[in-house]
Amino acid sequence: MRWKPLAVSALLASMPLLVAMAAPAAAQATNPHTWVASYGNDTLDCAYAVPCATITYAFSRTARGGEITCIDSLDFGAEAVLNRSVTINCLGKTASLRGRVGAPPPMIRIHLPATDTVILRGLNFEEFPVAWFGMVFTGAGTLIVDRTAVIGGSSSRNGILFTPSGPAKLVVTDSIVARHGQDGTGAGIRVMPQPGGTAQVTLERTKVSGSQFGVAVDGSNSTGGINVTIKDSVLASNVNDGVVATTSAGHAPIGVLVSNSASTNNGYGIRAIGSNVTVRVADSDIAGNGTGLATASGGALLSSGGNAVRANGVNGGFTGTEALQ
Amino acid sequence: MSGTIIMKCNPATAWVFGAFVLFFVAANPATAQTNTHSWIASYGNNASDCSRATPCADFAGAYDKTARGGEITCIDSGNFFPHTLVTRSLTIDCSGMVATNSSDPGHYANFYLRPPAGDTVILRGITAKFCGYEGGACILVDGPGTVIIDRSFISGARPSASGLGFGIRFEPSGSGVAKLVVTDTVIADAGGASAGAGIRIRPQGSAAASVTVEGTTISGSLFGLAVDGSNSTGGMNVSVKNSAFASNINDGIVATTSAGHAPIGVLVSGSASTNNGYGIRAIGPNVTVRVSDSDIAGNGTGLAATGGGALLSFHNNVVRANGTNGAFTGAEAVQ
Repeated sequence: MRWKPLAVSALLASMPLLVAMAAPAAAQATNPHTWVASYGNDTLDCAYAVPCATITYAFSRTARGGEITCIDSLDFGAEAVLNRSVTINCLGKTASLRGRVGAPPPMIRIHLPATDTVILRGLNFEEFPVAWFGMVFTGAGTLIVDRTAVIGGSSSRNGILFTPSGPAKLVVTDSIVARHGQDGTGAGIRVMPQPGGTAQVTLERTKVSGSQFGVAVDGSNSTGGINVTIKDSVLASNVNDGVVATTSAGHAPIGVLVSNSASTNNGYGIRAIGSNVTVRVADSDIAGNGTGLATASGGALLSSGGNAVRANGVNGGFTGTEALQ
Repeated sequence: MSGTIIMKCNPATAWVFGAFVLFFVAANPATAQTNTHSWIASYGNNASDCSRATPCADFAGAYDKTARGGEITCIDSGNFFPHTLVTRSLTIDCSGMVATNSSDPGHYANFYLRPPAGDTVILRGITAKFCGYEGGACILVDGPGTVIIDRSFISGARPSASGLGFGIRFEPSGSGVAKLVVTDTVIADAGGASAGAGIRIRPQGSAAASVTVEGTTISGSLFGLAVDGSNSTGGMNVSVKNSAFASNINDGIVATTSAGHAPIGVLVSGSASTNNGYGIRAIGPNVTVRVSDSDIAGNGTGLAATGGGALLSFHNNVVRANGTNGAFTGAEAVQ
């Protein structure tokens, strides 16, 4: 047994040389598919047999357009910056990104060229205790979020902060966004393009609850236009608005369609603020809110029919109707 | 396995089994496709029998040992290369696992399915990625049988070589009606620079097709759902229910055929086509697209019909906030 320490130390001594030789190839990030695991190690190449431990490291080893997959359930770090196409797929595992003490926001930042697509699937964003954001999207391109939970903590600002500076698309399906914002600000999903940015947003079968605002769409920092569709979704028990769209004179026009969805038990069910804001509502339920429907500063709130607006403190009213076709 | 059975049987039965095994081996000299249930795992080995205790390493290895109508299940997550032509009834179920299939050059599609008429291939809980070099598809179907895809995730059909890129490329040939059912599936980021779609339905020759898409999202692709009758004459029925087509560069849903070619009927119900180049488009004679209880919003053009295509409303759709809303060509009553 006595020879073992010697052999191990000899092996270890040779390791740095091997690592040094291997590093240039690995740094090219050519792996089409990398893996992370609870037992992973960020000095490895993220193959299935030798997985890595964090998304940040795995991403550095993943080719543009490649995929990062979770082998098992784990907390796999945060503070990743995704600047090229990648898929992170951990469906079926409890793969949590946790806000780290002393770490600045966000947990994942997506900053893409217009041609690229990031897909996040089956992830748990756990912002507790200190992270400010789950995802922050800047730049352009496409972000697709599927079957993901974005859960805020005591420091949470926004779950998904979508602030593109170019043409950008966001698609969220089958996801849960909860407990975001504090002291009257912050939202589960906040869409606020920056100068030069436009936004196409589709939410499908997504639940936004227990936040300051549910879905907040804000055109006041941009001019390029925002289209949002909320379908088959639920906005519940948010302190302020379930859905609010607001812009200011000379800034981005906003069109929101809420279809076959429910905005219930919020401060406001749905609110349209500003003269370039049009929110259409079809086949949806607005109930149990402080105020069901509200508009201000020329915002349009149009019914396409089939809506139940009942049992709100003040039901409010649509500003107009549109015929179905 | 058969040896065990023979030992437990009386001599007369053993003779029958023995003869049967001999016949079977003679008929399938390469491999014995006898498993009713095969298993694959990240630690598997294709030299094994694909049992739960000694699983195989990938779909191709397991398929070679699985009987017609049998099932392949994933024990754990892994990179399970498929690269096999499926020509008989089969279920592949990897629900709960991230069983990813990355294609690479030299292979036609991640899943290449050619079920004969009467056979059914079921893919469930499949993850397909980096699809289709030569074939340009994650899932390519060219047989006349039935294919059912459930709770799967198909992305990145963006090949570098062929310029094609399809999540599901459904091109049945032969006679009869080939069937495709896609449920609770996410398809994203499909399409090359010039061609490609989340799902393309394009029968060949005299083949006909019936297609149902339910609870499915297609986004961020070149086209969402493309139905093309120009290569066939047999006709297509496509039903799209409770599904979303979002932020595709060209059409959310398009149906097109040419004179003398397959008639197409599409029903879009309880669905949304939003933020695409076109929401829904009907092109060509013999194309009828019906839309019920659906939302067409935020598209460059919401509705368009050209070349004699019919686009019919049930008077219960929201068509708003498109660059150009467009219009239905007619209406039908809900009953």
